Amino acid sequence: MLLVAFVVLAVLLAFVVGRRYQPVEEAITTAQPAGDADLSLDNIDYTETRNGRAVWRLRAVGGSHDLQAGVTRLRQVDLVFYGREGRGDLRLTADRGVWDSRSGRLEAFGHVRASDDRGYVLTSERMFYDQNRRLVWTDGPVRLTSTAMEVRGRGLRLFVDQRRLRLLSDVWSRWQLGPLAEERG
Amino acid sequence: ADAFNRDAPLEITSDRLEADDVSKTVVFIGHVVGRQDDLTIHAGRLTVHYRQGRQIRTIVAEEDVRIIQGERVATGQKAVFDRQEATIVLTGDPRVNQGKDFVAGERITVFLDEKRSLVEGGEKERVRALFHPRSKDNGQNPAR
Repeated sequence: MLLVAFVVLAVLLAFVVGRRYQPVEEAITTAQPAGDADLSLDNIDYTETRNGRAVWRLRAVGGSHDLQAGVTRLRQVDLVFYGREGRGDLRLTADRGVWDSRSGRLEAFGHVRASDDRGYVLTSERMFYDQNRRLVWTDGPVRLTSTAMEVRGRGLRLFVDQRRLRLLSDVWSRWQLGPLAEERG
Repeated sequence: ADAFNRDAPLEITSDRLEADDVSKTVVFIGHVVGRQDDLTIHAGRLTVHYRQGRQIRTIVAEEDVRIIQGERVATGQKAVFDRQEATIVLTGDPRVNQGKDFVAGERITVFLDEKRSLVEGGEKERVRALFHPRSKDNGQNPAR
């Protein structure tokens, strides 16, 4: 179910953001001194590999990193988590992303879209992730779709470790049921 | 009457929703309205139980449940909708009304594919029914 897929996505997101990741593979970026940011980055393409296998890949048209504030701002974010043990890849895109390493908080906004290869899609205009509380949330509208269902609501709280999700208001859902397994054949 | 289409799309609205991947439930809370085919369910709380392969098998409605199917209106404090069987089992002061007629008991099973309900009494509640005589031309009764 889409809600389930979204939980998987969040777990991966938490896994990525929560780690002290070491750049195993040099990011193909062109860095120049930036205006007020310490570092301005273009054509970011960063892949984390482990034991020779790609774990996730972050691409962004550009970004900047503020060393003092410990904040990284990214434009046109495209984040792919490569599936393991038979699980397909998951992809998150957004117009912008801000990662605050001090507060452990990630914000993605502007056409936030998360999808996997089974056709599950989550869309929202703004999504937050709090690494300390292991919580994904938004107060805005959320839409979850797959080939079999669509759920809309306003306000999302996803408790990553408990694998529980809440929609806070205005819930509408439509489920294409189809015959139960025993009935087929 | 056409058979109930248990595979028709199911639409559910509510104030809030809670999904739990461990217990494999999606709970709709607050002013819940569920619609499928010609059936409408109103309740304070509605829990969808899904299984491996994410198929919905059972739906449990609670808190002032009201189920409407054509002329039939069933009420109670709890209703369990079994998709496989195309039945709804009502408990908690269950009652089925059809026009001015009604039946009540301790447990009522509504057969969605048929114009039929099974009313069972128990220690606390005997079966009660009220049928108004029909004029000759349409002898319909809500339950047999």
